[in-house]
Amino acid sequence: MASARDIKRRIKSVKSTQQITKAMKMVSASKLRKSQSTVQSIRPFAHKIEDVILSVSSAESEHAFLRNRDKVTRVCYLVIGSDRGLCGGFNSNLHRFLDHILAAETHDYDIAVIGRKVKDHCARMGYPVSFNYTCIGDNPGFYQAQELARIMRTAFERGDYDEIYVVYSEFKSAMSQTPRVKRLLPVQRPERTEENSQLKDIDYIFEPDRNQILDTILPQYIDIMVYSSLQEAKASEHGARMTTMSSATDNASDMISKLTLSLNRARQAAITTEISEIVGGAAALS
Amino acid sequence: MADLIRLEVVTPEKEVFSTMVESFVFPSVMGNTGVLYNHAPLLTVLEPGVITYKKDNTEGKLAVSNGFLELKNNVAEILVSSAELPEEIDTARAEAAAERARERLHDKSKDIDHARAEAALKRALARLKAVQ
Repeated sequence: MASARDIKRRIKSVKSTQQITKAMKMVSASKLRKSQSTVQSIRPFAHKIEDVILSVSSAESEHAFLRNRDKVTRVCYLVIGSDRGLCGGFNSNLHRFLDHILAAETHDYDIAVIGRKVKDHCARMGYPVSFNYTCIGDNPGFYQAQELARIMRTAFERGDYDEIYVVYSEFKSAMSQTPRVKRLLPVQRPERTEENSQLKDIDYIFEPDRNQILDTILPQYIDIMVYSSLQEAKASEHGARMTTMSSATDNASDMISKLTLSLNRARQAAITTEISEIVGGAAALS
Repeated sequence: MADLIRLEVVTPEKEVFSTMVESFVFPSVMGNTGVLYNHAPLLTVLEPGVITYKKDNTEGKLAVSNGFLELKNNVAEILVSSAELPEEIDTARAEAAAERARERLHDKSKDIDHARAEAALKRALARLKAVQ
Protein backbone atom coordinates (compact mmCIF):
# COMPACT_ATOMS: atom_id res chain seq x y z
CA MET A 1 0.00 0.00 0.00
CA ALA A 2 1.19 3.49 -0.83
CA SER A 3 2.45 5.48 2.07
CA ALA A 4 0.37 8.29 3.56
CA ARG A 5 2.79 10.82 2.20
CA ASP A 6 2.48 9.56 -1.38
CA ILE A 7 -1.31 9.67 -1.17
CA LYS A 8 -1.22 13.20 0.20
CA ARG A 9 0.93 14.29 -2.69
CA ARG A 10 -1.46 12.65 -5.13
CA ILE A 11 -4.48 14.41 -3.61
CA LYS A 12 -2.76 17.73 -3.92
CA SER A 13 -2.01 17.21 -7.58
CA VAL A 14 -5.56 16.07 -8.38
CA LYS A 15 -6.91 19.10 -6.54
CA SER A 16 -4.87 21.52 -8.58
CA THR A 17 -5.97 19.80 -11.80
CA GLN A 18 -9.53 20.13 -10.61
CA GLN A 19 -9.06 23.83 -10.09
CA ILE A 20 -7.91 24.20 -13.68
CA THR A 21 -10.77 22.18 -15.13
CA LYS A 22 -13.24 24.09 -13.01
CA ALA A 23 -11.89 27.41 -14.23
CA MET A 24 -11.97 26.23 -17.84
CA LYS A 25 -15.52 25.08 -17.40
CA MET A 26 -16.64 28.45 -16.13
CA VAL A 27 -14.77 30.34 -18.83
CA SER A 28 -16.34 28.13 -21.51
CA ALA A 29 -19.77 28.61 -19.97
CA SER A 30 -19.53 32.37 -20.28
CA LYS A 31 -18.13 32.19 -23.79
CA LEU A 32 -20.89 29.79 -24.71
CA ARG A 33 -23.52 32.21 -23.47
CA LYS A 34 -22.07 34.91 -25.69
CA SER A 35 -21.84 32.74 -28.81
CA GLN A 36 -25.29 31.38 -28.24
CA SER A 37 -26.84 34.82 -28.18
CA THR A 38 -24.98 35.73 -31.39
CA VAL A 39 -26.22 32.56 -33.06
CA GLN A 40 -29.74 33.54 -32.12
CA SER A 41 -29.38 37.11 -33.32
CA ILE A 42 -28.15 36.01 -36.74
CA ARG A 43 -31.18 33.85 -37.39
CA PRO A 44 -33.75 36.64 -38.01
CA PHE A 45 -31.31 38.40 -40.31
CA ALA A 46 -30.65 35.23 -42.29
CA HIS A 47 -34.37 34.47 -42.56
CA LYS A 48 -35.07 37.96 -43.83
CA ILE A 49 -32.39 37.71 -46.47
CA GLU A 50 -33.76 34.34 -47.57
CA ASP A 51 -37.23 35.84 -47.91
CA VAL A 52 -35.90 38.67 -49.99
CA ILE A 53 -33.88 36.37 -52.24
CA LEU A 54 -36.98 34.31 -52.73
CA SER A 55 -39.09 37.27 -53.75
CA VAL A 56 -36.42 38.77 -55.98
CA SER A 57 -35.17 35.69 -57.76
CA SER A 58 -37.64 34.48 -60.31
CA ALA A 59 -37.24 31.03 -61.78
CA GLU A 60 -35.59 32.38 -64.90
CA SER A 61 -33.02 34.49 -63.09
CA GLU A 62 -29.63 33.17 -63.99
CA HIS A 63 -27.34 34.87 -61.56
CA ALA A 64 -23.83 33.40 -61.53
CA PHE A 65 -24.11 32.65 -57.81
CA LEU A 66 -27.44 30.86 -58.20
CA ARG A 67 -26.90 28.80 -61.31
CA ASN A 68 -25.60 25.27 -61.01
CA ARG A 69 -22.62 24.81 -63.25
CA ASP A 70 -23.12 22.26 -66.00
CA LYS A 71 -19.90 20.45 -65.36
CA VAL A 72 -18.43 20.10 -61.91
CA THR A 73 -14.74 19.34 -61.94
CA ARG A 74 -13.43 20.77 -58.71
CA VAL A 75 -15.06 21.30 -55.35
CA CYS A 76 -13.88 22.94 -52.18
CA TYR A 77 -14.69 22.14 -48.58
CA LEU A 78 -14.43 24.87 -46.01
CA VAL A 79 -13.95 23.06 -42.72
CA ILE A 80 -14.49 24.93 -39.48
CA GLY A 81 -12.93 23.37 -36.40
CA SER A 82 -11.17 24.61 -33.32
CA ASP A 83 -7.68 25.81 -32.54
CA ARG A 84 -7.44 24.15 -29.17
CA GLY A 85 -8.23 20.73 -27.85
CA LEU A 86 -9.64 19.74 -24.45
CA CYS A 87 -13.14 19.73 -25.82
CA GLY A 88 -14.06 16.06 -25.79
CA GLY A 89 -15.24 14.51 -29.02
CA PHE A 90 -15.79 17.84 -30.76
CA ASN A 91 -12.84 17.67 -33.12
CA SER A 92 -12.70 13.91 -33.58
CA ASN A 93 -16.38 13.81 -34.55
CA LEU A 94 -15.80 16.54 -37.09
CA HIS A 95 -12.74 14.77 -38.49
CA ARG A 96 -14.55 11.47 -38.81
CA PHE A 97 -17.41 13.22 -40.58
CA LEU A 98 -14.97 14.90 -42.95
CA ASP A 99 -13.25 11.58 -43.71
CA HIS A 100 -16.62 10.08 -44.64
CA ILE A 101 -17.49 12.91 -46.99
CA LEU A 102 -14.12 12.90 -48.68
CA ALA A 103 -14.19 9.13 -49.12
CA ALA A 104 -17.46 9.51 -51.01
CA GLU A 105 -16.33 12.51 -53.07
CA THR A 106 -15.84 11.67 -56.72
CA HIS A 107 -14.57 15.04 -57.94
CA ASP A 108 -11.24 16.66 -57.36
CA TYR A 109 -11.28 18.51 -54.12
CA ASP A 110 -9.43 21.07 -52.07
CA ILE A 111 -9.86 21.86 -48.44
CA ALA A 112 -9.90 25.28 -46.84
CA VAL A 113 -9.25 25.00 -43.16
CA ILE A 114 -10.17 27.07 -40.15
CA GLY A 115 -8.64 25.94 -36.88
CA ARG A 116 -5.32 24.37 -36.00
CA LYS A 117 -6.75 20.98 -35.05
CA VAL A 118 -8.34 20.50 -38.46
CA LYS A 119 -5.13 21.59 -40.13
CA ASP A 120 -3.18 18.96 -38.20
CA HIS A 121 -5.72 16.31 -39.12
CA CYS A 122 -5.56 17.16 -42.82
CA ALA A 123 -1.78 17.06 -42.73
CA ARG A 124 -1.94 13.65 -41.06
CA MET A 125 -4.36 12.26 -43.63
CA GLY A 126 -2.60 13.93 -46.54
CA TYR A 127 -5.58 15.97 -47.75
CA PRO A 128 -4.83 18.85 -50.12
CA VAL A 129 -5.18 22.04 -48.11
CA SER A 130 -5.49 25.13 -50.27
CA PHE A 131 -5.68 27.63 -47.50
CA ASN A 132 -5.73 27.69 -43.76
CA TYR A 133 -6.66 30.24 -41.20
CA THR A 134 -5.84 29.65 -37.57
CA CYS A 135 -6.31 31.78 -34.47
CA ILE A 136 -9.72 33.04 -35.43
CA GLY A 137 -10.46 33.84 -31.80
CA ASP A 138 -13.25 32.77 -29.51
CA ASN A 139 -15.83 35.16 -30.78
CA PRO A 140 -15.21 35.84 -34.46
CA GLY A 141 -16.51 39.17 -35.72
CA PHE A 142 -18.58 39.73 -38.79
CA TYR A 143 -15.65 41.37 -40.59
CA GLN A 144 -13.69 38.10 -40.30
CA ALA A 145 -16.56 36.21 -41.87
CA GLN A 146 -16.77 38.81 -44.62
CA GLU A 147 -13.10 38.38 -45.38
CA LEU A 148 -13.44 34.60 -45.55
CA ALA A 149 -16.56 34.81 -47.67
CA ARG A 150 -14.77 37.17 -50.02
CA ILE A 151 -11.94 34.69 -50.52
CA MET A 152 -14.43 31.92 -51.23
CA ARG A 153 -16.46 34.07 -53.61
CA THR A 154 -13.47 35.16 -55.66
CA ALA A 155 -12.23 31.57 -55.92
CA PHE A 156 -15.67 30.57 -57.17
CA GLU A 157 -15.90 33.44 -59.63
CA ARG A 158 -12.42 32.76 -60.98
CA GLY A 159 -13.58 29.25 -61.68
CA ASP A 160 -11.14 27.58 -59.27
CA TYR A 161 -14.07 25.66 -57.86
CA ASP A 162 -17.46 24.76 -59.22
CA GLU A 163 -19.00 24.02 -55.87
CA ILE A 164 -18.10 25.12 -52.37
CA TYR A 165 -19.33 23.40 -49.23
CA VAL A 166 -19.03 24.32 -45.57
CA VAL A 167 -18.39 21.62 -42.98
CA TYR A 168 -19.06 22.69 -39.42
CA SER A 169 -20.62 21.54 -36.17
CA GLU A 170 -24.22 22.47 -35.74
CA PHE A 171 -25.02 23.69 -32.27
CA LYS A 172 -28.01 21.89 -30.78
CA SER A 173 -27.34 22.27 -27.08
CA ALA A 174 -24.34 22.37 -24.79
CA MET A 175 -24.53 18.57 -24.66
CA SER A 176 -25.00 17.80 -28.31
CA GLN A 177 -23.31 19.05 -31.46
CA THR A 178 -23.61 17.37 -34.82
CA PRO A 179 -21.25 17.82 -37.74
CA ARG A 180 -23.05 19.17 -40.79
CA VAL A 181 -22.26 19.97 -44.37
CA LYS A 182 -24.08 22.58 -46.41
CA ARG A 183 -23.59 24.08 -49.82
CA LEU A 184 -22.28 27.62 -49.87
CA LEU A 185 -21.93 28.18 -53.59
CA PRO A 186 -23.81 28.11 -55.86
CA VAL A 187 -26.41 29.41 -53.46
CA GLN A 188 -29.21 27.00 -52.84
CA ARG A 189 -32.52 28.65 -53.46
CA PRO A 190 -34.27 28.93 -50.09
CA GLU A 191 -37.18 26.55 -49.68
CA ARG A 192 -40.60 27.95 -50.15
CA THR A 193 -42.71 27.49 -47.05
CA GLU A 194 -46.32 28.27 -46.20
CA GLU A 195 -45.24 31.38 -44.44
CA ASN A 196 -43.13 33.05 -47.07
CA SER A 197 -45.19 32.02 -50.08
CA GLN A 198 -47.49 34.96 -49.35
CA LEU A 199 -44.45 37.20 -49.66
CA LYS A 200 -44.31 36.43 -53.34
CA ASP A 201 -47.68 38.06 -53.84
CA ILE A 202 -46.64 41.50 -52.70
CA ASP A 203 -46.08 43.71 -55.69
CA TYR A 204 -42.76 45.28 -54.85
CA ILE A 205 -41.12 48.12 -56.66
CA PHE A 206 -37.63 46.84 -57.43
CA GLU A 207 -35.02 49.51 -57.57
CA PRO A 208 -32.77 49.51 -59.60
CA ASP A 209 -33.89 46.08 -60.90
CA ARG A 210 -34.02 42.46 -59.84
CA ASN A 211 -30.58 41.53 -61.10
CA GLN A 212 -28.82 44.44 -59.46
CA ILE A 213 -30.56 43.69 -56.20
CA LEU A 214 -29.38 40.10 -56.46
CA ASP A 215 -25.87 41.38 -57.15
CA THR A 216 -25.81 43.03 -53.75
CA ILE A 217 -27.86 40.58 -51.77
CA LEU A 218 -26.23 37.31 -52.78
CA PRO A 219 -22.73 38.28 -51.61
CA GLN A 220 -24.26 39.44 -48.35
CA TYR A 221 -26.15 36.18 -48.04
CA ILE A 222 -22.89 34.29 -48.45
CA ASP A 223 -21.28 36.50 -45.78
CA ILE A 224 -24.12 35.63 -43.47
CA MET A 225 -23.91 31.92 -44.18
CA VAL A 226 -20.19 31.91 -43.40
CA TYR A 227 -20.74 34.03 -40.31
CA SER A 228 -23.48 31.83 -38.95
CA SER A 229 -21.47 28.65 -39.57
CA LEU A 230 -18.50 30.21 -37.80
CA GLN A 231 -20.63 31.18 -34.85
CA GLU A 232 -22.36 27.81 -34.67
CA ALA A 233 -19.00 26.06 -34.77
CA LYS A 234 -17.71 28.29 -31.99
CA ALA A 235 -20.81 27.79 -29.87
CA SER A 236 -20.46 24.03 -30.36
CA GLU A 237 -16.82 24.17 -29.38
CA HIS A 238 -17.53 26.10 -26.20
CA GLY A 239 -20.45 23.81 -25.40
CA ALA A 240 -18.35 20.70 -25.93
CA ARG A 241 -15.55 22.11 -23.83
CA MET A 242 -17.89 23.08 -21.05
CA THR A 243 -19.43 19.60 -20.86
CA THR A 244 -16.05 17.90 -21.01
CA MET A 245 -14.56 20.12 -18.35
CA SER A 246 -17.56 19.70 -16.12
CA SER A 247 -17.25 15.91 -16.25
CA ALA A 248 -13.51 16.22 -15.69
CA THR A 249 -14.20 18.27 -12.57
CA ASP A 250 -16.66 15.63 -11.33
CA ASN A 251 -14.15 12.87 -11.98
CA ALA A 252 -11.53 14.77 -10.03
CA SER A 253 -13.96 15.06 -7.09
CA ASP A 254 -14.58 11.31 -7.17
CA MET A 255 -10.88 10.66 -7.29
CA ILE A 256 -10.20 12.97 -4.39
CA SER A 257 -12.81 11.29 -2.20
CA LYS A 258 -11.40 7.84 -3.05
CA LEU A 259 -7.89 9.00 -2.32
CA THR A 260 -8.94 10.60 0.96
CA LEU A 261 -10.49 7.29 1.99
CA SER A 262 -7.30 5.39 1.28
CA LEU A 263 -5.29 8.10 3.02
CA ASN A 264 -7.41 7.61 6.15
CA ARG A 265 -7.00 3.85 5.88
CA ALA A 266 -3.26 4.16 5.52
CA ARG A 267 -3.07 6.47 8.52
CA GLN A 268 -5.26 4.12 10.58
CA ALA A 269 -3.11 1.16 9.55
CA ALA A 270 0.02 3.02 10.61
CA ILE A 271 -1.51 3.81 14.03
CA THR A 272 -2.66 0.22 14.49
CA THR A 273 0.77 -1.11 13.73
CA GLU A 274 2.31 1.36 16.16
CA ILE A 275 -0.09 0.36 18.96
CA SER A 276 0.43 -3.33 18.38
CA GLU A 277 4.19 -2.75 18.48
CA ILE A 278 3.89 -0.92 21.79
CA VAL A 279 1.57 -3.55 23.19
CA GLY A 280 3.90 -6.29 21.97
CA GLY A 281 6.88 -4.50 23.50
CA ALA A 282 5.11 -4.07 26.83
CA ALA A 283 4.07 -7.72 26.84
CA ALA A 284 7.63 -8.80 26.22
CA LEU A 285 8.85 -6.78 29.19
CA SER A 286 6.48 -8.22 31.75
CA MET B 1 -49.45 61.64 -34.85
CA ALA B 2 -51.14 58.49 -35.96
CA ASP B 3 -49.38 57.96 -39.27
CA LEU B 4 -46.07 56.47 -38.32
CA ILE B 5 -43.65 54.16 -40.09
CA ARG B 6 -41.77 51.50 -38.20
CA LEU B 7 -38.06 51.84 -39.00
CA GLU B 8 -35.86 48.88 -38.14
CA VAL B 9 -32.13 48.73 -38.75
CA VAL B 10 -30.60 45.28 -38.34
CA THR B 11 -27.03 44.05 -38.69
CA PRO B 12 -25.96 40.40 -38.43
CA GLU B 13 -24.61 41.12 -34.98
CA LYS B 14 -27.59 42.88 -33.43
CA GLU B 15 -30.65 45.01 -33.94
CA VAL B 16 -29.25 48.52 -33.90
CA PHE B 17 -32.36 50.58 -34.06
CA SER B 18 -36.10 50.14 -34.02
CA THR B 19 -38.57 52.94 -33.59
CA MET B 20 -41.66 54.64 -35.01
CA VAL B 21 -40.85 57.59 -37.26
CA GLU B 22 -42.84 60.08 -39.29
CA SER B 23 -40.56 59.94 -42.31
CA PHE B 24 -37.02 59.01 -43.25
CA VAL B 25 -34.48 59.50 -46.01
CA PHE B 26 -32.04 56.74 -46.93
CA PRO B 27 -29.07 56.52 -49.29
CA SER B 28 -30.13 54.21 -52.11
CA VAL B 29 -27.92 53.41 -55.08
CA MET B 30 -30.27 55.60 -57.11
CA GLY B 31 -29.66 58.59 -54.85
CA ASN B 32 -31.21 59.68 -51.59
CA THR B 33 -34.76 58.48 -51.29
CA GLY B 34 -37.39 59.78 -48.92
CA VAL B 35 -40.14 57.61 -47.49
CA LEU B 36 -43.43 58.90 -46.11
CA TYR B 37 -46.45 57.13 -44.68
CA ASN B 38 -48.19 54.72 -47.09
CA HIS B 39 -45.28 54.32 -49.44
CA ALA B 40 -45.69 51.51 -51.98
CA PRO B 41 -43.89 48.22 -51.21
CA LEU B 42 -40.25 48.68 -52.13
CA LEU B 43 -37.12 46.56 -52.32
CA THR B 44 -33.92 48.40 -52.95
CA VAL B 45 -30.18 48.48 -52.43
CA LEU B 46 -28.43 50.84 -50.05
CA GLU B 47 -25.11 52.56 -50.40
CA PRO B 48 -22.94 53.45 -47.44
CA GLY B 49 -24.34 56.71 -46.16
CA VAL B 50 -26.56 58.38 -43.61
CA ILE B 51 -30.18 57.63 -42.80
CA THR B 52 -32.05 60.69 -41.56
CA TYR B 53 -35.35 60.20 -39.80
CA LYS B 54 -37.95 62.58 -38.42
CA LYS B 55 -39.70 61.89 -35.19
CA ASP B 56 -41.66 64.28 -32.95
CA ASN B 57 -40.25 67.26 -34.87
CA THR B 58 -36.68 66.23 -34.19
CA GLU B 59 -34.23 64.77 -36.62
CA GLY B 60 -32.03 61.76 -35.97
CA LYS B 61 -29.17 60.25 -37.93
CA LEU B 62 -27.64 56.85 -38.41
CA ALA B 63 -24.57 55.79 -40.37
CA VAL B 64 -25.01 52.61 -42.40
CA SER B 65 -22.91 50.60 -44.82
CA ASN B 66 -23.97 48.39 -47.72
CA GLY B 67 -27.21 46.55 -47.48
CA PHE B 68 -30.78 46.67 -48.62
CA LEU B 69 -34.19 47.87 -47.60
CA GLU B 70 -37.52 46.15 -47.66
CA LEU B 71 -40.58 48.29 -47.16
CA LYS B 72 -44.14 47.05 -46.90
CA ASN B 73 -47.23 47.97 -44.89
CA ASN B 74 -45.38 50.91 -43.35
CA VAL B 75 -42.69 48.69 -41.92
CA ALA B 76 -39.22 49.43 -43.23
CA GLU B 77 -36.60 46.82 -42.56
CA ILE B 78 -33.06 47.82 -43.35
CA LEU B 79 -30.51 45.02 -43.39
CA VAL B 80 -26.94 46.24 -43.50
CA SER B 81 -23.53 44.81 -42.67
CA SER B 82 -22.90 47.59 -40.18
CA ALA B 83 -24.82 50.48 -38.68
CA GLU B 84 -24.01 52.97 -35.95
CA LEU B 85 -25.83 55.60 -33.97
CA PRO B 86 -23.99 58.94 -33.82
CA GLU B 87 -22.99 58.39 -30.19
CA GLU B 88 -21.33 55.09 -31.08
CA ILE B 89 -19.10 56.57 -33.76
CA ASP B 90 -15.43 57.06 -33.04
CA THR B 91 -14.69 60.25 -34.99
CA ALA B 92 -10.92 59.96 -34.76
CA ARG B 93 -11.03 56.40 -36.06
CA ALA B 94 -13.35 57.30 -38.93
CA GLU B 95 -11.09 60.20 -39.90
CA ALA B 96 -8.05 57.95 -39.88
CA ALA B 97 -9.90 55.39 -41.99
CA ALA B 98 -10.94 58.05 -44.50
CA GLU B 99 -7.37 59.30 -44.74
CA ARG B 100 -6.04 55.77 -45.25
CA ALA B 101 -8.61 55.02 -47.93
CA ARG B 102 -7.77 58.26 -49.76
CA GLU B 103 -4.10 57.40 -49.75
CA ARG B 104 -4.83 53.98 -51.16
CA LEU B 105 -6.97 55.48 -53.89
CA HIS B 106 -4.20 57.88 -54.90
CA ASP B 107 -1.67 55.10 -54.95
CA LYS B 108 -1.71 53.84 -58.51
CA SER B 109 0.23 50.64 -57.94
CA LYS B 110 -1.52 47.53 -59.14
CA ASP B 111 -1.94 45.44 -56.05
CA ILE B 112 -4.57 47.70 -54.55
CA ASP B 113 -8.21 46.82 -54.82
CA HIS B 114 -9.72 50.16 -55.78
CA ALA B 115 -13.29 49.05 -55.33
CA ARG B 116 -12.57 48.06 -51.75
CA ALA B 117 -10.70 51.27 -50.98
CA GLU B 118 -13.54 53.28 -52.41
CA ALA B 119 -16.09 51.37 -50.34
CA ALA B 120 -13.97 51.95 -47.24
CA LEU B 121 -13.79 55.66 -47.99
CA LYS B 122 -17.56 55.83 -48.45
CA ARG B 123 -18.14 54.08 -45.13
CA ALA B 124 -15.78 56.40 -43.31
CA LEU B 125 -17.34 59.51 -44.84
CA ALA B 126 -20.81 58.27 -43.93
CA ARG B 127 -19.76 57.92 -40.30
CA LEU B 128 -18.28 61.42 -40.27
CA LYS B 129 -21.41 62.84 -41.83
CA ALA B 130 -23.61 61.21 -39.21
CA VAL B 131 -21.82 62.89 -36.31
CA GLN B 132 -21.87 66.35 -37.83
